[in-house]
Amino acid sequence: MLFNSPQFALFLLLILSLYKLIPPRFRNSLLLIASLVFYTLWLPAYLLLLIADIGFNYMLLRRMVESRRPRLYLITSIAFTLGLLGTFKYAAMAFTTALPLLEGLADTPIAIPDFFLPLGISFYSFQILAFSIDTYRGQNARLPGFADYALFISFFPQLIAGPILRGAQLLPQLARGGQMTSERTRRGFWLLGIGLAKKVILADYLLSGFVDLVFDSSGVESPAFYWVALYSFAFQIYYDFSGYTDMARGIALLLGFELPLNFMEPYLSRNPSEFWRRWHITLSRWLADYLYIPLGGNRGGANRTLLNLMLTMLLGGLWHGASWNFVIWGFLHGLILIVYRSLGRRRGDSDSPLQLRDIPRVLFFFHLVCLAWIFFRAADFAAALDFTAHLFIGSNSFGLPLIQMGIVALCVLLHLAERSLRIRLPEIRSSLAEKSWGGVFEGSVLGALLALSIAVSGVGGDFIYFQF
Amino acid sequence: MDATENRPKRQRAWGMLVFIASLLFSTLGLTWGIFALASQLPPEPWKTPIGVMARILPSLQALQGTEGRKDTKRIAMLGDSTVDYYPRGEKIPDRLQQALERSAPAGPSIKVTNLAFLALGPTAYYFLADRIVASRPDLIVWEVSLTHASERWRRSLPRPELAGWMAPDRIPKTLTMPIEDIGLTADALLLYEWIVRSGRWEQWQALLINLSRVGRVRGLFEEWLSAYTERRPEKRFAVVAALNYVQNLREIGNPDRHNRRGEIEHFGSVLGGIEATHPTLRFIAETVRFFSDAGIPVLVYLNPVNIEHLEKLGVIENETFQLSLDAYRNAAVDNGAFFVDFHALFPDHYFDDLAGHFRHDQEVEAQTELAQSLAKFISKRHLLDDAPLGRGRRD
Repeated sequence: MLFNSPQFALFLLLILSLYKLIPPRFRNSLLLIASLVFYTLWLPAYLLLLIADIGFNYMLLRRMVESRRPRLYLITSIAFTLGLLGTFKYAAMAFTTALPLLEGLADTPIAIPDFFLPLGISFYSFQILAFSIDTYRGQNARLPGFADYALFISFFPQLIAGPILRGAQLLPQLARGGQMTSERTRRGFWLLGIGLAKKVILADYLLSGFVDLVFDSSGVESPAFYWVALYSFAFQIYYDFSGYTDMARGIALLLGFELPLNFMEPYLSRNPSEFWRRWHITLSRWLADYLYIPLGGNRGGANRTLLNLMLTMLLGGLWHGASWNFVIWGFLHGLILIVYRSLGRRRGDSDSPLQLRDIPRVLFFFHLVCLAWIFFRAADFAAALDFTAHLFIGSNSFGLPLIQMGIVALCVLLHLAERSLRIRLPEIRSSLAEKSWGGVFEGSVLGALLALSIAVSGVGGDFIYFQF
Repeated sequence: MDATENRPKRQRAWGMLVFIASLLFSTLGLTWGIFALASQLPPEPWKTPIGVMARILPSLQALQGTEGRKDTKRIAMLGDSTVDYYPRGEKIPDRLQQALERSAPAGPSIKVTNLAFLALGPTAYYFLADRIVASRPDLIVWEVSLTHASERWRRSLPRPELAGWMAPDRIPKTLTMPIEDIGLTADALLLYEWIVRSGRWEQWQALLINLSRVGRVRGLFEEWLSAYTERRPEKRFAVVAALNYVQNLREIGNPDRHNRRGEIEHFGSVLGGIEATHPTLRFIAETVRFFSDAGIPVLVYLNPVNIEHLEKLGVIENETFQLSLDAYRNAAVDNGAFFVDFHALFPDHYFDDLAGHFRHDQEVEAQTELAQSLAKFISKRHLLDDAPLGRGRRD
């Protein structure tokens, strides 16, 4: 169920009403049922996969905490979870990679079988792995009951596209029960409204059309169009994914739970390290904690550190999808990180406030990120190279796409405003709450945002990150 | 924690009530206002299923209205634009009716009802099957095309919203079908069902039209702006890109990768051979079985394609292509239908485009030839008699 669909609005309304009405001790059970129904209503067959994944891993966790050889159960958990992920996500990639060879032998097109990726499998698999590893490391104080563990993995606001949670971030909240305060409810509505607007108005209505037009065309030479399409895609994917995360966090808040931030204005980063602390934060931390550091991190000398970085980024790229384009995207980010580290330029590694003198670095790094995005969006490697070439060759015979340039400028301004809003919004909202007309004002502004989102939603599409 | 949390409970509750009321009032009021403004804009029905329903539902009702007339043999003709694309009176159902009337002038009168529409493929008819059965035609003639199995068709033209018109008792079975292949999920299916069952589909259509109209606002803004700049660069870019694409597709004989790629996109995995488990074939098989179980004879024909062109491009190999043809045939025959394979019926110059539409001019009368072939088959197999001969036979 898409968060921006009418059926989800009905579902959420029903769950919120029931959640409010029933006694607190039944609320987690309601959330578990709601989460499983939410998943079932996408494709009933894959519910079995989710339950099997949760059930088998929980059994292993129980054995792990009781056993004197917990490593065996950890390895089994990792092998089982990655095995399912690999089967459903990467089997198609293996087949497609072998296809040119097979076609060469047969000299004829060969049908590519359709593989359907179970929704959210990359996200919940990483959550399962993190919990198993943390339990092995003794970082989880105690093993939760099965129902709480199942709810932690399948919690519907974040089941499909994150944020990727750790046990410590949600399980204590589940044990306490959702704290539904008026402040959380208002903040939840705000995040829901802002997330919906990011997805529907910015990503779908204003950005996607132009991106599709240029990325999916061929043989038309006009560098200005290609650059504007590239900037547009950078903002489209950001508003699409961060919009989903905002909605996920908003829904969780309406139920009384806090989920962690997943984005902090990533395009204002001054260097790659900062970017990965601001883009898909929960994935970056996961990769750091469960891949980069276990590989040795920066403890094995300079060369080993660079190798670990590259491996982490390659696997991070592959996590996004079963396609060589994602591996190349990961490789490019790995390369950027390696060059940055090799140059020994660490200035700005801290999250110090942006200053005017940072503008060149922000712009330079933003363009590097954009160039890497080409491989994320293009249909295949050849198309990505074709697109890259068009950025630099040809004449601007069509003139400039002024409207789209205006939209990109708007996105830049909003991105800048996001930082101020994120920092100052609690203060603004607090002062509004003290005014007698504060509630009416807040409700009306948010309502206007929702109305506009509804009105332009006819252009909509799936969330880009659902495919991961 | 903000200031509201320090207030007494009653005051907090009142504050929340005011906030929610303002939120609802503002959302509903402004949405209504935007849609009221949008009604000034031209409609864009292609994005909505209203075109389908405006044509198909009345045709079904008309067909149902003639039920029980013993002096008339009633045929329902299903298919996509390759059936419906031609001028009024020259569509395949019109030609079929004329051919059947000519072949048996002394027999009962024939009424071929056109239930075909642009881009209506197997999934659409799967969803409409119980309504078609309810109209009790004496024969169903169904055009299926090789393009229906392509990824392109399945992703862009499956019309999943038609699931709302399906009888509720078919939902459990439908959930076991490959609905994910056409972008339909269980929640969307239930929503569409609820909309239609609760009699709200007209409001739903109105909502979709309003949304489409609002979706056009940006285009109108561009038009307005072009009055000042005298250029619409985005439109020009789109037109040139589309022309480039079509030009590449049309250059027959030129070993351009876009040419091959275009055809491979158009026909998809069919070119490499598909099997009975293919989603499109499963929908065809289930729909045919549904008709057959209801006791209605079904004639499925495989639409002619520009096979000469495909061979010139070298995108088909006899062996693997034959697998697809056999799979289509089996999907029909194994479920009790008659099947005729017309895929290689016509030479290159009969076709108007790569999508398989015929030229319709003085020199080429492809629709008539196709209809005559169908009429011949119907007569030969006595499909309009009470006991058709050789159901499920391979021809």
